[in-house]
Amino acid sequence: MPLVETLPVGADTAQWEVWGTVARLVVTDPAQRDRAAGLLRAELAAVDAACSRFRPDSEIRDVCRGGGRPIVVSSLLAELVGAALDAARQTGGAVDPTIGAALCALGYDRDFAQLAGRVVGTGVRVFPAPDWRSVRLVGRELTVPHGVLLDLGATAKAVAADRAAARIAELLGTGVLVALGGDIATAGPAPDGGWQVLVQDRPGDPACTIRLPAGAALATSSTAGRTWGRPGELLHHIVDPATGRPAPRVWRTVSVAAFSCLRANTLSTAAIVRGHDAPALLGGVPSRLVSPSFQVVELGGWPR
Amino acid sequence: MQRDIGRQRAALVTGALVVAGLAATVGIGVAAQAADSSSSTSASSSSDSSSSSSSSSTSSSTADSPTVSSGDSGSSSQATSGGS
Repeated sequence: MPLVETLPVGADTAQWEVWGTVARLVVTDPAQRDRAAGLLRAELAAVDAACSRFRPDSEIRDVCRGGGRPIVVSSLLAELVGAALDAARQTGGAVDPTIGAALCALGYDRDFAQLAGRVVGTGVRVFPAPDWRSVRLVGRELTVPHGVLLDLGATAKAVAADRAAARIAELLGTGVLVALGGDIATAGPAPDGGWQVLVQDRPGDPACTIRLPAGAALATSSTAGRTWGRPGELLHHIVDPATGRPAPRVWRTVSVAAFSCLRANTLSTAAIVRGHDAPALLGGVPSRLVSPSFQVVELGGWPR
Repeated sequence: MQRDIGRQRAALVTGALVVAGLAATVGIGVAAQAADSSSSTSASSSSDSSSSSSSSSTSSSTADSPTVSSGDSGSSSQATSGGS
């Protein structure tokens, strides 16, 4: 069960399950909660229709069935793919949207809520293994090489949080926090003292509480969450594009604060993939890394 | 004599063809390189979201990051950031 469900749901909060995790919305003006929740639901539905690799009717599935032909896509899908390509460029390919086929080969071929407890057999799977540079996006014209399956999961959830928070604050004039699993975006005015966030992966893991200023974002990536079984090994969902395999568990959890959830998620995901090189990657960015033995490393002014 | 002159001309023509062939090969290589560069550039430069993530991860610093402070563990949090 996602840890977030243990938090109270007050008059300023709405919460529901989505994408195999929990969407949580908190507003500074409780009178706007229901309208804000409607806007968030609409945003999540639009993102899902645009880029879910689990829905046969999603727009991205149409593109991937396009046989390598250029296809004009919606502005939303163009934004989501553009964000994924930006993340790939910024991380030197550590976060790469062309890992969809690798994830399917590992058994992650359906919504995670339907995957839990499923046993996936071993075997040799052959699939295209290009990298992000094979994907071409010019304006809204998207070309995906034949046989390549895009997975925007690492960045689309973060973009959805950023977009929803910004839209809610703009349309309703309230301060807002949008949390989608580990990804948190805020917009508008913050409560007195900032947004208070509990940073903890699983029950029993090291925990800390931080305050985010207005407009800040936070993302946490984990090799302990979204795991599923296969004979002889436990798999997780953060794939190293260089190997097509789950990244080695150098870190159990990485949390990063930034001014956008997309940026925070890009860095936290890349840190998991980079393993021992993560501290150099994160540099001066406020971040917290937890090792498999629960050793905590705090960087970039993360509060102790 | 005539035969020697003919051989020299044939050698010159062959050499010219080899040079022309090499130049064409290099040209094709350059064009392919340019096409690759064009492809990757367009892939990364046409994003609508670049403004929200413009800094490189290899040059991350506190200057483009928010200031995070300690929270009050005694009061309830508004959200949790855990792995999902």
